[in-house]
Amino acid sequence: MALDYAVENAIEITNLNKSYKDFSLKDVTFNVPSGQVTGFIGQNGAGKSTTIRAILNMLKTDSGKISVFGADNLEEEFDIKENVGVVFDDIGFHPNLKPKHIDKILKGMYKNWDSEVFFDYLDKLGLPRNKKVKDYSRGMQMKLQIATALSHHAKLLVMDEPTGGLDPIVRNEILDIFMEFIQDSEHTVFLSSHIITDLERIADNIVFIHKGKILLAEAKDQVAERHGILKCSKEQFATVDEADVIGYRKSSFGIEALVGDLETCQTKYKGMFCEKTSLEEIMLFYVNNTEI
Amino acid sequence: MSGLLYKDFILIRKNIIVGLVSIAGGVLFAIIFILGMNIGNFQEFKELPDVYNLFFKGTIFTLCLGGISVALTSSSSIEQDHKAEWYKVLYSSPINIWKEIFSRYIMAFLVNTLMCTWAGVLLPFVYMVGNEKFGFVEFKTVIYCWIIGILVILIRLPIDIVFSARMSVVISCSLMFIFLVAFMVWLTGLQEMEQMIITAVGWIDWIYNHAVLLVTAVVVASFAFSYFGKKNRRWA
Repeated sequence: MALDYAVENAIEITNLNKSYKDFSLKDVTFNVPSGQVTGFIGQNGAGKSTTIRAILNMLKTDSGKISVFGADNLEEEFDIKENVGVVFDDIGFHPNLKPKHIDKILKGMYKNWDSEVFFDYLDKLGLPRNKKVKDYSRGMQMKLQIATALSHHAKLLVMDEPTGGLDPIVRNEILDIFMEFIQDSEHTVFLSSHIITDLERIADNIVFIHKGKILLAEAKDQVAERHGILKCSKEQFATVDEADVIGYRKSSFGIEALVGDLETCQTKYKGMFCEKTSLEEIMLFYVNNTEI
Repeated sequence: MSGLLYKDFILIRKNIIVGLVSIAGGVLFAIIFILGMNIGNFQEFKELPDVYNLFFKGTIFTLCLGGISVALTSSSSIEQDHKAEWYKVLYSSPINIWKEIFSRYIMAFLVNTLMCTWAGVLLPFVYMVGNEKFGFVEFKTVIYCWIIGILVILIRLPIDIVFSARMSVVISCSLMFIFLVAFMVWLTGLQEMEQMIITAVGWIDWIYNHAVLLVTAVVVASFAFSYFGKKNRRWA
């Protein structure tokens, strides 16, 4: 089956399961819409990297189905990988290699490798061509990885914590590159991060994973619109319907609860104060108070 | 696959250069020794024809052995890949396991061939300086060494690919040690031991006569072990 770049979802994951001794992905199901940036949020060890490795067929899953550009990720693995640029949290190139070596190596690995594009990116990102990888700073190494991921005309960028451990200036530069990449309507970005501010800046969609389970998978604006913080006293909180509350925390002033339907709660609980909140707060409530 | 070969070449090019220089150095040392036997202070050695003849045989074995050792270092790229977490780049690229494995074998065979060829090219000079004939028998010894190199590679590489370089170093060192002991015994000229070597040479001749069958079997076993081992390990 040929890859279809016009498909509605660049990645579709259905009921993905993978068990380890101390961790498991449980029925992970979500889509990455084509032509958009999808942020994959979760704590360290939540299952982000495992999911990304499953997409790339870098690990054997127990069950579930993953399709990329409408094709099965196992059956069309190599066609898919020709069209996917991947960036990991650490560079996988040997420390003694120089960019000119990397160019020749990857030219022999990807059919569509474009040396001109690669060296253009190096210049654009201020990466010296004759320096060894080990002499690059961490930020430069990440930029080099991004340059390699973008130089074989990939339609989909899959990134695992590309901005982790970088200073804000380099992080901004990298996010700008993604923004530029996504200008082409055929391009899709799927990036995992635990830095929510980065995703707030560039993501169109949010997928939130916690302890191997998907808690949220929808448009970022919708997440922000839908959720809200309900502030009330302990007595008032006792009257709130449990079904409306995702999580809550106690403070000296009373209770702060995250509600999943802000509009309804504003009409339903008139005596209480309901307001919008940040993505970071929403995630914190999900993580710290998933159950009441 | 050309990208993988290029990567391995870049990673082991220093080993290759050291190997080529060492073989050339060995040849130079042999030439100086021969000149010493002919016109210098080692003339008494020349009067012992056994020692004189063994010296030439020894030179062939030593140089080829050195060459094979260098060929084996080609698998050091596997350890370097492991340290650099190269698998992240490799497994996210459109390279299948066969290509990955083939590139390892091709590189090891190429280095083995290069080293034995280099030794084969330089050895006639040693014989020329010593006024000895570098004939078919001597050439055949180089070929034997090349075949031994291939066999050691076929045995060692799957272990390298599937497990780790450390374990395969032990195995290849053992093989090389056996080879070296046989050679040393042969050099000492002990009659009983010589008989063993003759038997061993006869065994090598038997291998030579059944080369196609044996090499096919070893190649199939080696590749199968590499492929299935790698396939399982990849998901670990």
